[in-house]
Amino acid sequence: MSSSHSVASRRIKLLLPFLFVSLHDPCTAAGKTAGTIASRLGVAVQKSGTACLYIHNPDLANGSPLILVLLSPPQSTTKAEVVRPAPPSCSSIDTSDADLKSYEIRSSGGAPLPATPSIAVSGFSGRFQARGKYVTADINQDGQPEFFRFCASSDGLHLTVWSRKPLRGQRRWHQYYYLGYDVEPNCTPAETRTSGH
Amino acid sequence: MALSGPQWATHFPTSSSTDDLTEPFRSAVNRFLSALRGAGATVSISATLRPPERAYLMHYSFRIAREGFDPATVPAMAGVDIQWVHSAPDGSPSSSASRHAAEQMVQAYGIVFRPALGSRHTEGNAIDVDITWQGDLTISNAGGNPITITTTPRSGAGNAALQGVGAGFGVRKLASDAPHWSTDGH
Repeated sequence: MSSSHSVASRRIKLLLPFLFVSLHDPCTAAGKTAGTIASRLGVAVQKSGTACLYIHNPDLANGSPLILVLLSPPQSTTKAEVVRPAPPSCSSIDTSDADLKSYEIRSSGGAPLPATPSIAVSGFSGRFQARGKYVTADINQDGQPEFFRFCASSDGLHLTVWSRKPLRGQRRWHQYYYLGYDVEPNCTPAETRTSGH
Repeated sequence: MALSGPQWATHFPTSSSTDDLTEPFRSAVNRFLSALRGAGATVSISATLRPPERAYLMHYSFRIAREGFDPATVPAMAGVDIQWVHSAPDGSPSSSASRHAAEQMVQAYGIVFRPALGSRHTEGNAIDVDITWQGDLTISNAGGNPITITTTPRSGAGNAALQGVGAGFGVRKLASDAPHWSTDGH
């Protein structure tokens, strides 16, 4: 017992420096955060009378709860849930993104789902807070609030989530939504870049 | 004049044919797409010309339905014989009936954000096209010389080398919109 304990102690001592580097490597930490967020954030929108969810997560079960963040100020939230994998009426919002999965969703809070695109949050049990005209939540549980935004480019919308401050903080998540018609662009380059989070 | 309503959504459809583009962009696009297909790339066009009449109908139906725009003040457009103002049973103008008809148009078009009145698409100077390939892509550039693209992503949306080839043909990528190419990158 004491011998095996001693061996284990020596192994832990040898591994400690690597564990420390791993836990404090900002790239590794950011990568884990981004990975987690990408599977928990998506876009909800009504299409041809069907409420659709688009998300990089193929494993959402029927009945999975969602919080939808309505993006036009003053922002608010409403509850929804996954109904089933998407019917054909939920056509893709980004045909260049083969990993984007779609589901049919429905309201679970009594309020009708918004007609305009919203950001859907799954698997999150924390609190959403109102900050002026905006809603925030600590989605990645790092002690910093995340902000929700959208803007228009020429043919589509860019939905983003930012840590600390929108546009000036770190962009944590981005999803393009191809509209199929023209809109007046008002995005900044930081909101439309496809590299990074 | 025909009253506004969802039946208008089938008029003035968006084209996916390069034949509807404006010269000299049409020829530039055809040469670029021919080079892509010759190289084995997969090309899927979602939009070329979006008729200005369609943009007009989408724009004002959205503004009446969602932004409180007065239907009586919508400017007329040549070739679009639409009556935006609906009447009540007593013959007086009905803002609620007008707004309801406009909302039906918004839903028929699938509008979720205010449409623009004009763009490179309404000029016939833009194309939305998804371009993908497997492995390396050896493509003839505008000068007829083969260029081998080994970089990723293997898509028109994000590959800088392919976008450089497109620019050589006069087909320029707009970075902010995955499928969008035009005469000037706007």
